[in-house]
Amino acid sequence: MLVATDVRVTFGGVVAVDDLSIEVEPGVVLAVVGPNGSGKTTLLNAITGLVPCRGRVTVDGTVLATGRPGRARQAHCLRTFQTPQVIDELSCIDNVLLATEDREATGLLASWVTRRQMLAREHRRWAAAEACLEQFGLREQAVLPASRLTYGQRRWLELARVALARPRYLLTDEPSAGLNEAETVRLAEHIAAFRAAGVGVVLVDHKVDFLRRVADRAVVLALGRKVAEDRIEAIWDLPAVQDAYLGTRRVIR
Amino acid sequence: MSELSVDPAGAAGGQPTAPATVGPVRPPVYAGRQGLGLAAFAVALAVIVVLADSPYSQGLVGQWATLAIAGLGFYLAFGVGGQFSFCQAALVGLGAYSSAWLTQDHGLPFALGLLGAVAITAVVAAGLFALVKRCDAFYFAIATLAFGFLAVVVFREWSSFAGPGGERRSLPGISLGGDELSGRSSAAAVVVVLLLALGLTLLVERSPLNREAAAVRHLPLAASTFGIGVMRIRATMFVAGAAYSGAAGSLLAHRNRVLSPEAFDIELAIDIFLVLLFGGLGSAWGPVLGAAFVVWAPEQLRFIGRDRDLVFGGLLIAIMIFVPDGLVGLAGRVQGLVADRRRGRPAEPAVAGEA
Repeated sequence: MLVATDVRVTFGGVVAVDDLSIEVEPGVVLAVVGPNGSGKTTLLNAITGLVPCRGRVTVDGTVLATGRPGRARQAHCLRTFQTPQVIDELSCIDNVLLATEDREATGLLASWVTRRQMLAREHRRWAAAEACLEQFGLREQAVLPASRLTYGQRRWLELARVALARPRYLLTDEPSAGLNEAETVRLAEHIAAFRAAGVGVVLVDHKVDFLRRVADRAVVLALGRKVAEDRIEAIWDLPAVQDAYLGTRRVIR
Repeated sequence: MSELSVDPAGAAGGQPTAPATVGPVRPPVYAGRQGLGLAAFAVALAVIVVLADSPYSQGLVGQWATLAIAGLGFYLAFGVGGQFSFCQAALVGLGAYSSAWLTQDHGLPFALGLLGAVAITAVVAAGLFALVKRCDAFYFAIATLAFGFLAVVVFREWSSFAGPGGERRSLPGISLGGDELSGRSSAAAVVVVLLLALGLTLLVERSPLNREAAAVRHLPLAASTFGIGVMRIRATMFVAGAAYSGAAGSLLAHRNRVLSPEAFDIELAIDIFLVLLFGGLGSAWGPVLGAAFVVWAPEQLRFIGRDRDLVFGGLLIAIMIFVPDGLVGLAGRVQGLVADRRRGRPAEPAVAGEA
């Protein structure tokens, strides 16, 4: 289980995430919703170590050092970003390979001295990356520069990279942003596949239908605080959620 | 990466559907025939050295090869590692003085002077990196620039290392097995070191380090979430670049046989920068071509006389405007154009760095 307890992130005097706690079990999709500026992305950043935070994050019982993205990766917590983080000048397969688990023989000496071992490792890594590209329908684009991909394909490329890293938890930030109807359906299938493989997913998104299709539970944030948590079907009917999105109900006299 | 190497379907003349190749996909950086290119380059170098029959032309060849090695060092630190280090000239100087100190003061042969210079420069660079590694891009440039200024002062003042006032004279020349080499052979020796430096750089390009460095350059934060050691890669490339500078410095010292601190100030730093600007950041061949241009063009403009710098400056601006990705980028664009024509596809504008 991925447990974040009393996570607090401040930027100067602004409290972006205010003593928030969330829990995700393996094989569960937890939606994190809330209006703009409610701290969703910052929460993901805090859990994956991209911003320093107070509080405690444990992954399957092990405490994760906060503020260290490398540690989150070691604990198999992967994330994707609102804008796909793809390197245009690298080929698609290279982009996927960036998240490889096997980092043996990747240094300077490997490229100069122990080249034979390095290439043997590389062949295995290429095969694994190719399988991930296949899974996301990008096998044919493997050696094309990533700059040739459509926006949707860039999303799949990012997910293929995550898949190569064998995630136990996936924290994904607005994956449906910029995708059309058909692509969103496909995205839901991919998320469901991660879920079926036992990955715990923290899903920040806005599309209601999409969330209803893929998420199990939802947490609603407003101004850095958790205002509601419930099953995804029930969440939109809660008064606190409607308040968060539409403002507080008050009769103006 | 040229257009030719990235699209196997196109190269086979078919539609860009599923590649006909069975078996593992090979990332395109491993696909080119760099060994062949390097062999062709070695032959070209041999011809150049044979044709260089005057001390003047031999001097130019040596100057070019030395500057190309320093340029390759800057390419590793900046082009691959992504950190604009303005201290490459000072590191060349450190290599030069280290080599002079080891050979002239301690009687070591040239080869050990060269290796010692590489080692000393690498160690000092590692220390420097530990100090400035937290600096962001702009501040990193400024901090390394400051190191460059300081280094020149140290060369001038630390007489037990750099000689009185940083002036060293009658240094031993480049030698092999105890015999000092003549003009042509010593130019050949520098060229051999260039070939080695280029070969090692091409090996870096064809390695996992290359893609991880690209991630560190473009998306350092995201790269850290992939599990890439951002600082480790930056340090590696910075120190490797410094080692190249050290080698260039040693060669420079034993070719010129005199050293003075002024040779390693901002002017050399800018020359090394121009090498990359002209050559382009897209490939290790860039600095080699760029250095040729930086050494050769001013010589060709000699006839202009006093206004030479003005014309050279104009040329510089023209190149920045018309060939922003350097000579290597230009070559890549031409290659891409040819490949697209052959494939019957309209030419696409080349993406910087893709070439």
